[in-house]
Amino acid sequence: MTMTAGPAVTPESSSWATWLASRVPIDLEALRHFSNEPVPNHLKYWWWCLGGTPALLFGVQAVTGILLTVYYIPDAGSAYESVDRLTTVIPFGWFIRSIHRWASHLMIAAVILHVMRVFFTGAYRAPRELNWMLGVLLLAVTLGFGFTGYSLVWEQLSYWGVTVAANLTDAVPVVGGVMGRMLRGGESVGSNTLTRLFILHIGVMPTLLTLLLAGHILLIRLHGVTEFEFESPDKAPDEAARTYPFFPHHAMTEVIIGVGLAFALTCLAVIFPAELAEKANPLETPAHIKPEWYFFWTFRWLKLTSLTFAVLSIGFAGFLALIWPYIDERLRRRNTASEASVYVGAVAVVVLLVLTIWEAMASS
Amino acid sequence: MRTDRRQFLLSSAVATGLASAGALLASIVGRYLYPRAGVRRTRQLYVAPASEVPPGTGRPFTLPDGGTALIANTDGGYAALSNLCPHLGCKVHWEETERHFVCPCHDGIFDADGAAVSGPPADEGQQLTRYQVVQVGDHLFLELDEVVEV
Repeated sequence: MTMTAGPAVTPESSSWATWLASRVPIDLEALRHFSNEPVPNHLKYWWWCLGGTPALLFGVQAVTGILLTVYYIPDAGSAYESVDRLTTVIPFGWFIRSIHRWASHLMIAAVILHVMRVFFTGAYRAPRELNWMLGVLLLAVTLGFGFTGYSLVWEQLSYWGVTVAANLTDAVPVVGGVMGRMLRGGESVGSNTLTRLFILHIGVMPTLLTLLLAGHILLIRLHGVTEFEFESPDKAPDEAARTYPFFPHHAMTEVIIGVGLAFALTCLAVIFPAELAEKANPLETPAHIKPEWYFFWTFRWLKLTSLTFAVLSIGFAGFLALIWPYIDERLRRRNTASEASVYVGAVAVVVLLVLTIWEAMASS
Repeated sequence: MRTDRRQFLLSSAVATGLASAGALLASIVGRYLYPRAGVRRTRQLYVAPASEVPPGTGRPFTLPDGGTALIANTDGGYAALSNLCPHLGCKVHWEETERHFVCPCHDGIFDADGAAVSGPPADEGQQLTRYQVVQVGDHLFLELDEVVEV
């Protein structure tokens, strides 16, 4: 892309356009070309568009999150009461909180589905390995958003979830002790912890996610969206036949998905509004306690294995997921037709599903 | 591309300077964020009259700070157990019918002596922390060794 050719201002341009073009000397034609990515035909179907869905939901989270921050008090003595007030007293507070909560669930589900789609279609292979790694990091940050988010409510699940997470962090070899103390902000889970979780949730993680997302989208644009082999076995010779322009067609698909999401979120928020459980009580762990659904598998894994093994195995699995393109490349170097990734992915999905359903079915 | 000596030294000096400034900044931020070390102290906490725990019995007591501890009067004297699960820090509760402690977080089970009998704590060979019990006249005190914020 060349951005040095100067602004594309024609004699017919209005005076404000001329003024703007001279103050912001960007080659609009080059910018238009760069942003108007040719999109493979399979993206005409919305179920292949899960990559854009988390980005749309992140927008929803940013807006509703800022609104929630107006009334939320990040202090162990007031957090729960502020959420209670927000939910029961502030006009439409329950609605904004419910939208925020449901959007978080949908965002995590959409990222997981998107990662699965990319994995099973082999779209992570060269030259897109770095973008896969950015995607895995985006998944980790999104899960971090979920964890810090439900911790801020300061109900029983929040307190005991943070306690378990901090003690889990302690069990990480070498750096665990320091990291656990950094998370707690002191000797035990309390106000310092809540402040840190709040800063992570509204400052550090949004910044991190924005940067990762920008890198992710930039690499997608530079490499283009992966074209599926099954779509055009005898590939059309010219790109125009295999793709369609981002603007306005794909942009319109995203708008329609956005409208659908807004409708779904509104229905979910109205029919199943976010509730408030018992306030955090550091002296008593409830007899029945479970994290949110996306951590069921880790919760069950912790019940089945020793702490050290659980921490090391989860960390190792995450590392394998991160570097999978390079492992896959090695495997395919030996056998170019190797579909080992499909089997590995299928086993991983089954294991995660079994652990998740097992925990969901457990009475306590 | 060849780099002459002057250029190499200049680049090295700039890189070293930037790395040193970065390390200094990181250590300042790390020191700022890392919590201050707490102070370890021992204190005695009143639990109950000794007459409420006759020989051969044990029962949970609510401590003044709201926590619970199981005090037992065995052949070896009084013993008290913490209700903090050594696995991941949840609070165990006593189930009278089964005569054991249960941790609701990851299904750890401990016998009346505090030894883990099933679940992840048993895999790790863990047990509930024992407090020392001090008897002064007819009164029982727990001796707590704790770390407090400063």
